Amino acid sequence: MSERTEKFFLGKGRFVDDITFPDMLYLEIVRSTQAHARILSVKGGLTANDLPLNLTSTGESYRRGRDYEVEPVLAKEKALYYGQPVSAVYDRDRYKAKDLVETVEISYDELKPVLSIEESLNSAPIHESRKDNVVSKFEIGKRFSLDSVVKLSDQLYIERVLPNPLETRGIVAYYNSGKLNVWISTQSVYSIKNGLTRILGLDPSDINVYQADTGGAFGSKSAVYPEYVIACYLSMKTKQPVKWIESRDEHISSTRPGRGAKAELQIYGDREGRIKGIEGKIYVDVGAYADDLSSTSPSWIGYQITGPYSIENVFIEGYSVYTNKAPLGPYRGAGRPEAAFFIERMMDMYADHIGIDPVELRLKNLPEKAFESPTGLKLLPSKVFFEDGIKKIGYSELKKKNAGISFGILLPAVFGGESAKIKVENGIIKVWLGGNAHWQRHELFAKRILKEILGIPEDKVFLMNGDTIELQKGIGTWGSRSAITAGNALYKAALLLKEKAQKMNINDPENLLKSDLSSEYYENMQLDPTMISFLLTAAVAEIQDSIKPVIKEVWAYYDVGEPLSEEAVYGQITGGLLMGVQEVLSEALKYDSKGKPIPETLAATGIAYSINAPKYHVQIATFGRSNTPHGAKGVGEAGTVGAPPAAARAIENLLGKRVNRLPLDFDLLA
Amino acid sequence: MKVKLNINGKDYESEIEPRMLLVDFIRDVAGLKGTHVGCETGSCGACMVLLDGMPAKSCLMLAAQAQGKKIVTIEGLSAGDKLNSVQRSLSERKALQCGFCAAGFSIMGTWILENEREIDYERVKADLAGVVCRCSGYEQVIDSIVEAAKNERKN
Repeated sequence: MSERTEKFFLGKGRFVDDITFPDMLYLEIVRSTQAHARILSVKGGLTANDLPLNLTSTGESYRRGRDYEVEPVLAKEKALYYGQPVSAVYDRDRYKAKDLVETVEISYDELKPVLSIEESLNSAPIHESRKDNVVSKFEIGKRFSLDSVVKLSDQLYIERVLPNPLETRGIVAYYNSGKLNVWISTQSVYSIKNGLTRILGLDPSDINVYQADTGGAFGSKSAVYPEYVIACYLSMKTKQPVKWIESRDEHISSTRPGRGAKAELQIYGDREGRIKGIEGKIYVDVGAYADDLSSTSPSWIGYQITGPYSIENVFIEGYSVYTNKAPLGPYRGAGRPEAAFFIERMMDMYADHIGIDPVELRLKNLPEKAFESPTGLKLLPSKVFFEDGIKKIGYSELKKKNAGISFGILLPAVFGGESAKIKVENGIIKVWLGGNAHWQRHELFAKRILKEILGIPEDKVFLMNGDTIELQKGIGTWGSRSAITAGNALYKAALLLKEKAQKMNINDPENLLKSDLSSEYYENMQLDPTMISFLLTAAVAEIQDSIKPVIKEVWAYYDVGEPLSEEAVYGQITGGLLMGVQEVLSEALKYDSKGKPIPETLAATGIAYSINAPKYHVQIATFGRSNTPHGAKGVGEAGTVGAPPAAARAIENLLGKRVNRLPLDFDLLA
Repeated sequence: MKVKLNINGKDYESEIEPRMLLVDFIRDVAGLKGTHVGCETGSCGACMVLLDGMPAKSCLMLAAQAQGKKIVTIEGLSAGDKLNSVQRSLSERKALQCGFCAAGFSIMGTWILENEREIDYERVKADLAGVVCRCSGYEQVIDSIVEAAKNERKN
């Protein structure tokens, strides 16, 4: 039994809102009630005049600088999305701080909001210094011209989706004796530290970041947000501890949602089902401000648009565009599900057009040997994997149930590598990983690796929360990367510890636990084709209550390399599958004609409840080891990549109408 | 106003604002942090408690409304550090991931074991309809509660 989960049942977790200090100030944010407006005046609270600062790309988003508009910490001349921070108030009493929000007076001159990709391309720039609303433009692959017998086109669209972790975002900042101490719900204490250091102009040695127990993230807790900067600023100014806890309606209006992508694609092929090429345009709605991740999102989607298939001709033009909506962020999968939905929906269209079975079509287009797509994506041959999978999930039976099928790939975000530290202390082993877990099961693989290398019993191994003092360098947990990157670092740190122990003549676990040895290891990594997982997903739909299509059953045959913990991998897969299915059925962040988010509660965002869960048939497969010492591949985002195209096809089969929008369009049901 | 609430068999008396929610009393006055706030609108169940034996969402009622009732929070389900059967099953099967939902599933699971006559997968799945888990896909949670019920019947 794990002490880490047991503490949650005893009410002894330490989530960020559980952390209190005497004389703590509660911070509340006054947000724009307009999606697009000139701010004429702000009366009350801390304003942009007090904090004339801008955000910076960090965490998952930190790639390379581009020319885009970054979000200010507080809006000054213009408010560019509903929910944008404009002013900040605080009080020692939580309820009174909320009352103070009502006392701040903001007057606006309303402007017409730009709310869709189409409107963005045809409207005056929302940032007046720019010539248009295009953030950045990409060309992926190579231009080609083909005289193919079959040429099919479609427009595909995925609505914005909120990460909606059960615990919202939150921070406690305490500036004390010249040091800024931060406790935060996060995927990476390093991205928070780096971001705050740069934004506030601090010396890195003057800020420590500690990870509180983190109640889910799904991408929403990797970046630095305005509220974090304000909380730190306020604590530095008042020398008092400051707490900010996001409410769910703030999460809906102001936490960065994911997806929001559109594709206009043409697929070229012959009558026998051999694809000759794919071309088109991919658009991503990045919202009012951009960062490295959102601005480059179209090129990341385009890079993997070929899925597992060997397609010789690829040319994609990618555009990221501004709208008057909250800035875009990563949501579980972050570009991978978009690419999978786009290519898989075109594959089904192609199969229907030439009248062959969609699985047969897919198998025909898998590479026979190692393949590099025109976008630079390198893949290992996967035919054996998918042929096996088709048998293992019992496709011949599923076909009779009108199942939808998807073939997919999962590219782990290994770039940057990861760090790990092991410390023997008072007869137990403490482990810190650069990627900060929120019990996606990092602890299980840590126990397994230390047992394998050092012979340490699993109940003596404890995974600690992220801490920039104990482990000074690290990256973060996202992009299905941790098993590969943190697993690799921990494996090598354990080997280092073993070496140290042997030099001291400590050769058994009992004596090792009596020592005070420690080791630390960091290694950068590059994506290698052996790290890419293959995913086979199937779904069956039915009509519920005479009107509503639902997904009844889901099958997953997923390649996870060498599984570090089967039960851990299982829960990651079912969790991802349900999110993927729900994205097809109802989960979305839609806005009204004034740019205000339509959902007002968690339930209204269309998330899945227990009654929405399909029956899962999960098979964990090992199709070769990754090129790491422990052989694991990624898994966290597998379900959100595999489920949407399979579920969409299942519903298409059920209704007899093309599904090219997520979530389902109600017109389809008419 | 002055209120006295009985939580996990212990009385907590305090001067509070009439508008104080029960969940804030539990967390900030009684200092019991295992009950969480997830959505403030009764959508998620992270704030669930037993109120005179019935499951209730403590973000949807005032502290003053709970006077005279017996409130049981997640801390009141275990005996010292010994988890109850539902919690043990959830913990052993590693059914939860982030852990923020622990109160919701522990409280509902405990209520199910004490009140439902026929406990099977479909029954539990339906009974859990007011508690959100964003991590697991629910199956391991439901299985854990069904298994706890089976074990209890055996004993």
